[in-house]
Amino acid sequence: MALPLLRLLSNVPITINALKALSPGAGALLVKSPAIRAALILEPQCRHTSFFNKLPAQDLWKGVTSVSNAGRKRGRGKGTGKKTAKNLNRGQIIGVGKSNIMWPGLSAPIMKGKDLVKQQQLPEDSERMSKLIKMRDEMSTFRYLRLLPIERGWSGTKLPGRSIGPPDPIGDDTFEGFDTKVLEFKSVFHMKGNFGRRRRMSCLAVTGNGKGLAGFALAKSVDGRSALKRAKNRAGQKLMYFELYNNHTVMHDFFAQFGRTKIFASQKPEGFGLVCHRAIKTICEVIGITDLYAKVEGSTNLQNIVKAFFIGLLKQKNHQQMADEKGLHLVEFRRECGNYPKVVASPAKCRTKEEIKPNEVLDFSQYVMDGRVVLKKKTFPKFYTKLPGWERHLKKTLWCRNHDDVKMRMLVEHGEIRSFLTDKYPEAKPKTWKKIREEPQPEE
Amino acid sequence: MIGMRLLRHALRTEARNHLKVVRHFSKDSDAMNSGVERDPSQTFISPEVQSLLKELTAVNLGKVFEIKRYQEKLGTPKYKFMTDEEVEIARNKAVQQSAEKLQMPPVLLARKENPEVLARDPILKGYDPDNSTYVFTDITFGKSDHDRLIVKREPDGTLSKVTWEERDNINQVYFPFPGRKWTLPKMFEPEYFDDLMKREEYVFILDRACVQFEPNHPKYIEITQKTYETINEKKSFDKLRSTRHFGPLAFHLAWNKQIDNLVLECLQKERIDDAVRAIQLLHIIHQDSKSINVQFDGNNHMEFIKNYTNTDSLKQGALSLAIETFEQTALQRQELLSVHNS
Repeated sequence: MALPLLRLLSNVPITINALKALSPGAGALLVKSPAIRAALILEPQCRHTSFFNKLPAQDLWKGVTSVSNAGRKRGRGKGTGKKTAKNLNRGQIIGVGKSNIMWPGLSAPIMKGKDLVKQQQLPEDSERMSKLIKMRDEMSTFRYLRLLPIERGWSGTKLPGRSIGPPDPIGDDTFEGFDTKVLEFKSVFHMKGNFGRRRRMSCLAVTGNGKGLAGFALAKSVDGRSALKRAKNRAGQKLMYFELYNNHTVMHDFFAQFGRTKIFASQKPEGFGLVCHRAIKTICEVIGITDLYAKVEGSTNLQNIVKAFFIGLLKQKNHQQMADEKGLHLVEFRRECGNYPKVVASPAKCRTKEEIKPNEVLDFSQYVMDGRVVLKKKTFPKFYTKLPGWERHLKKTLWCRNHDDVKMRMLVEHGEIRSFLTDKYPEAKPKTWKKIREEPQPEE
Repeated sequence: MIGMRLLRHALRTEARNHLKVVRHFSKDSDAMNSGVERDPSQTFISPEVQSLLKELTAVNLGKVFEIKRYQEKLGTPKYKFMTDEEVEIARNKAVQQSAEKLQMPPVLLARKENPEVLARDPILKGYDPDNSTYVFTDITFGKSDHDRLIVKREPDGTLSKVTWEERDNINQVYFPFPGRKWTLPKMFEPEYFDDLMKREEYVFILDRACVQFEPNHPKYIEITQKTYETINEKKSFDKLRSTRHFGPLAFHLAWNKQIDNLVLECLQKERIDDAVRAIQLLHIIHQDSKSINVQFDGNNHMEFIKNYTNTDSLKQGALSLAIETFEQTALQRQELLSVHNS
């Protein structure tokens, strides 16, 4: 009897009083039906059962988190935007719920001393729900990686510049003293006929033992971790030995090129440090070079820089080789040693002056750079030295030009900075200028 | 340098007194008898002693020119391709340069403060309300720090030459010696000095002493003598070899008849020539030593050393043992060589 009325009423919104006026008997029935009530905008449609409590949790989550095949090809559902399934059972125990009731045998002991424990309702925990929600909110969020400064790479928490440990041991060969560092870690794509655009992770790693042995390798894999591992192990397979000068720098200045990337490297003394491109710096760290200046010119393609640097290192000659090649003594002059001629390498048979051709290159720097001459740019004076105020500044600061040295000497000899009046008046001690100086409180 | 000028001055006074250098032996023995302290400077400067000391230093050019730890900034080494002749020429040049580095600081008596009074004018008393002493310095170019005329007028009117201490200070004002400090560096205080001796930093302290003091400064003599005694005790003579301090060290030991440790060390290191030279040095300085009866003729090394061991040395046992060991090893070496050759 209500059915035809339903069909009518679904289209027309009518008030209850109007309905009651229509037929008094049917009024109560009409109001009870949820569908009609929804239609009357008395209550929104409310179902007490649906797929929500009919399906298992796994299927529900799958519906929310799954990505289509097309989407997966585009790289969706991976990385930061990924929706993760959360286990809502976490933080909840059977027997503990919204209405805080104590269940002896389940959530409470049966006997308390000699008395039986009764089922009782405890005051409600208002914070319970908020705690659960907070925990669920934190579940899927990416935990920010805390790195120590020493572990940091070139930038932030990114992998380039970071160490990934020594290569995996092969049988009895353990890579003792080896450390691998990542130089490049990027996602690369290639097109396949059947699959279309395919993504892989590419990793360029360099490994070395800090004593002259090093190797680098490039490896690609679908996931990052296996790419790292592959690159690390492959680098361990391709080791090269480089001779170092006094275990801290290259044997001599060199020029090396790969593609359009050019590197000018020069030998530097102890304490200079690694003043070069960060990739070259990382490579030097694993090889064991501590002092070097390298200028990269032309293209700065990282893989080409690495290759060019390794080519340069491989082409190096040690002192004995150079002496043998030239048939002359190789003599070292150091300013710190009073320019004493120290013969570092001698050939088996030394040539005489007559045997040397007049146009032969005898200059060491030319010989070592293969005829190239490094451009030394003219250093112009700073712009401010041409301004009129500069002369004034020089005149003003002339009177205190040795004050730093005097300060140091005074602190060494007297322990404090004093003036010629401090002997007579101990409180007359020169102080640094301060805009607002705290006056010492007079003791009472 | 300054020390050499001092010596020349000393020699000039001697010449004025019409005494030849050769006769200093007799003069010194007279001085010993009279109780006056014997002056080592003339013995030190004599050619025989100088040549012995130079040879004892056993110059190794590599060590002379090695990097000193207290350098400020290091530079990159420069390389050259050279022929045999060029290397020889460069080495000779280095030998010439090393001569300056190996100049021995002279051994002199401590200076005595006895400034000459030039005038007494009590009438000038009270001319300065602050009662300050006025110092007049002759800063003419070319005058030496030692001879320069420096006089002071004291508040009581006395015009006198300055004391040696004051002279050092005034010279430092007008002609500062690079590296010299106004106040005594803490390094020379007993606490820090002992620490340096413990660490065996002999060359370091001796170099600093040369910079800070004049060779006839009493503090310089004290520091150097203490250092030489420590080296003698610890027998670390090798630390001073190829430096300019070995000569004065050997001279000091011979002067005080303490060459036993040095001779022992030379024997242990198989430096027979050096052992002989040390004993010869002793003979020149102390003409009255017992072992002077046997002269060294160029070949009788062991005989010469044995004679010294049996007569003058205080460590007879250790020295004879060392001689025995040396002779045995020499014999064994000869046997091995003969076996190898046959």
